[in-house]
Amino acid sequence: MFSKKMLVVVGAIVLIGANLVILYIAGNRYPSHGLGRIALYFVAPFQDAVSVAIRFSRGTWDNYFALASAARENTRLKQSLNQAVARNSQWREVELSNIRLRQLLDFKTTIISQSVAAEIVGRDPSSWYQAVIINKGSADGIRKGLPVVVPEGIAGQVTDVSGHYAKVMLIIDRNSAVDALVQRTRARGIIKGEVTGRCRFKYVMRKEEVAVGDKIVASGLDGVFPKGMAIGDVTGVVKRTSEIFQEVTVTPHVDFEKLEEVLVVLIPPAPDFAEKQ
Amino acid sequence: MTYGYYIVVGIGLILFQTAVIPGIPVLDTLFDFVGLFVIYLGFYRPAREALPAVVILGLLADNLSGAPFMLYITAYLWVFFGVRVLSLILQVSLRFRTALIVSGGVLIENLVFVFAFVLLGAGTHSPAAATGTVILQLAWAFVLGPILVLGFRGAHGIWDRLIGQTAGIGRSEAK
Repeated sequence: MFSKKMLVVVGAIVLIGANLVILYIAGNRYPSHGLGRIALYFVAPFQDAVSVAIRFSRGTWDNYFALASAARENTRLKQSLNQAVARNSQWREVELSNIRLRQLLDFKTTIISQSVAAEIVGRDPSSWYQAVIINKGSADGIRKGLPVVVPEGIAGQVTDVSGHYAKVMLIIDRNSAVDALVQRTRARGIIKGEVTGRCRFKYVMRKEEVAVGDKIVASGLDGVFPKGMAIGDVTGVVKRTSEIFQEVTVTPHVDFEKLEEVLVVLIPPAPDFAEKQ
Repeated sequence: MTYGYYIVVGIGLILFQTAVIPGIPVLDTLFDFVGLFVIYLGFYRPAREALPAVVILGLLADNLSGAPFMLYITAYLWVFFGVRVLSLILQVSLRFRTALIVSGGVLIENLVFVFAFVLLGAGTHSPAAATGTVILQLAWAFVLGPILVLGFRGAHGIWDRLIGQTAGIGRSEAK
């Protein structure tokens, strides 16, 4: 009755339709069932091990070998100098970590009372989305929906948690949304991520005053991010006469390419967030 | 045995993609390596054997990504079937056939992602940036893709031979 070609076309249409429905349903919620956390349990520990190995190798390469090559010039003291250099490089690496962690700790004590420091062990496999895996999980008090920050400002939000690892969606991800304010004029809008690594400050009325260089801070109204936390600077404003809202581009303060450690703020998320997700 | 190869390579590629590449800024614009492995599976392996691996790889990538759940499973399945169709359409004698099939697979994966943005209302405000990303990935795929796919094939052959030898030794010792 039906030709083979017809069946293939109908099959493809049905498949695409089913695919759309599944994606639409799945895309509107984060998985909170076990299936969505399998990799956090089984792959994240390996990511952790690989990240540690890479950091160690990089530290060794940057410090030990660079300095050891200088030591080769001194033949008389070669052996002792190598040892000294090796020790020195280790201390140097510790010192740098110390400075970074001290900054984090100062920030932690001055701004946020209850928080957990975590290291990034993995990044999103896709260049289209921006998420990271951190080495702290529910055993450390991390829960879904908690805000993630660094001294420079807001970094993201926890979207999935396993025992010892968690997934954090960065604010430059297109699915992220942060209720925010222009610090100077108090104009309100929503910060959304962009594929360019910048953010878009959406739903700002055209009548509101926003200028390049203005600071954008969290409004605290989303019940997730602490009020007043820095997000970024306005780097572009376009006001079209035909539109209600203006187009505002924001460059985040946080350098997401170089993000290594973060703080997860242990304040309760908005009451309905966990239920919604 | 084959599944052992899929597990080792799949997890290795996921670790490379998520923990190693982010530390090398030059490689940021590269295509998805796990997706490339799916292209290899679609091109060279029987569907019944490869499909479970494709679904599991998609599930793992979904877990580690900020993408909506099931997007990777969907994308990998489309890549898998798309590559099979492409390998039927493109003549064997065609020059750059493997490169075209690999680029086609990478394009399908990117199209699924872009389509998901539009469908889920996340839309892209920077079409130029999105197009740039896709073009760069396609260029890399055209140049590097065939080499890596052939590498996967060669490694699979070596794996099978090694496992076969080990199993043969085990059997002869048992006798």
